[in-house]
Amino acid sequence: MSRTMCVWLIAALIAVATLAISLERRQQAKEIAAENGTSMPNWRTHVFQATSFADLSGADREIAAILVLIPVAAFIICIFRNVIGLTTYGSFSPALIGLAFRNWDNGPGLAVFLAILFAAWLIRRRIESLHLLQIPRSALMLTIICALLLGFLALARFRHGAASPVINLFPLVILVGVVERFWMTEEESGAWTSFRMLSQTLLAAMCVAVVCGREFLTRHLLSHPESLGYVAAALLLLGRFTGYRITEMFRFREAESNPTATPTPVTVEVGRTSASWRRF
Amino acid sequence: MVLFCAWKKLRQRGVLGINRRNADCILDQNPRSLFANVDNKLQMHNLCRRIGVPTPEIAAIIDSHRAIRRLGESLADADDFVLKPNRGAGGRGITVITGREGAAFVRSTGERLQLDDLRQRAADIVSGIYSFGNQPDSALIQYRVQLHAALAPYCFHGIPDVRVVLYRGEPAMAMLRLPTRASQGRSNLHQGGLGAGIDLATGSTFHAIQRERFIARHPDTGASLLGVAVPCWHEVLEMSRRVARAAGLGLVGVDIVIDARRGPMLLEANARPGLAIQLANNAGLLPRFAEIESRQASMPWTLKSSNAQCKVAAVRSQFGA
Repeated sequence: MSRTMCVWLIAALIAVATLAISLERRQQAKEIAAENGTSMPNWRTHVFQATSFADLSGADREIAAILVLIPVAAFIICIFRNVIGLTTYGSFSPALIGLAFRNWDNGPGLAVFLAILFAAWLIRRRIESLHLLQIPRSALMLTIICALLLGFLALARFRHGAASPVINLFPLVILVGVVERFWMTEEESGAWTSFRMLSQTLLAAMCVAVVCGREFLTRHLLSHPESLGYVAAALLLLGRFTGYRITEMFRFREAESNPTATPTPVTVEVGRTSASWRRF
Repeated sequence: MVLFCAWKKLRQRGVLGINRRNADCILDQNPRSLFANVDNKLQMHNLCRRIGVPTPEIAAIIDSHRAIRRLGESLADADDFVLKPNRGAGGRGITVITGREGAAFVRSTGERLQLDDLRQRAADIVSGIYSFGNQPDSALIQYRVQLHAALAPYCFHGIPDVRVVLYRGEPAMAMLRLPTRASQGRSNLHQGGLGAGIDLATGSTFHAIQRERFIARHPDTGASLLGVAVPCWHEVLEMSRRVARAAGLGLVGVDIVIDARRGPMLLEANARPGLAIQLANNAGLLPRFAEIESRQASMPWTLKSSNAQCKVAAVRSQFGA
């Protein structure tokens, strides 16, 4: 049996098992509703109740929500990278950024994030000439980003507001990585490439934010956490997806529209060279 | 619908996409344990020594910060060398020095570097910023290959190389990679170098690209890129075969330079060869792979002539997948 067949089989098994658990959970809920709590709960009821996180509240709910949303965000990133073919800074940085900003009412928070990204990038350019080794340099960048955030905190206090809705600690550490990669890409391939990659990263993050910001999705995943089985099955299939990425269709388009592959005899004329050579 | 048409056309041309390369070629046929053979340039160097393939000699290995402090002594009488990361990829972190001017080192681009600049570059390499996964690395001081006269008209500030992509030990496609002003003397395609597809049978180029677009003449020297004959072509092919078999990888890209004095030399090999070679050849890799597979299936005894490691790799890829 081929490897790909094997993967399909495992994915199908996982999906079927997930579906079975979901149906069982629904059945259980119906029974409980019908009996109105008169019969003794058995172990299955306990398991289903413990694994339904919809009734959590406060910080626990936030943790549970992030835990069930991370796989979904990761799946979206897989689509972006392996099916569409975008390039992002770091595999899961956009997932974490998107999750951190999944509540779109957090406009100021996004502004702060972008401001810090920009400030950190400016500083990164400055400290390059100091020729610091990589790890101390990253640690220094982290320190600077923390100091910037403290600055925002101080600003919020000064204006008698609360900083906690604006400042999100979650994507802090990956921010260092994003700035570092951004700067390196800029050095090696130019500002255009690095900004294009940044916009692709932000686009992916935005999609993650839009999808994961849906309240009904969070609620469904919290009450039916077994649905992550579907995500796992889909990831297995994506893991053996050997089709073309959408960006590749554009990349290799030239190959099909180019008229000639036959050698044409062209002689080198010394007097007529290209403009760039003359400029040199 | 447009996408579907584009998809179908690519399929018809047999273009190998990156997902398929990763899943069907690299993950299935390049065992992880053999990656070090090619990713680590020092190991590759030793492998070449063992199988008798010429390769530019390594003058010094800088693997600690102590060695960086002593860089001045190591370079005391060197004026023509390449500083490169042992486990770098994509031509990153390579500094080419072509001469001395007093205390300064002259780069191939004409830039002057002080010993401290070189120390910084070596320190960057050792700290691992160019290696896979930012692992600590070592820096190599390597003999600089001299430009072959036959290829001089097609180069701008650098050394061209021949990239041969081999599938199960057999050459599937080849291209001549030429440095340009845009690529700053490096021959990597994504940095703006030129790629010219080579007819495997004759060894001369028939198509060329820069930044994924067709180009007929070298943008800096104006020389025609079509019909360029690669010197020592059959030697190059034979060398690539030997390296691919010794490395034991199902899909491998082998980079060979042609030195003015010593002829073809192996520069490095790559376990994740890029796909742009298809653009440079204006053809897809999949039909070539299929042809190699059917040739090997009809003549299984050819495997006996190659070494044991290749046999294992080939058998694994034939029956394991």
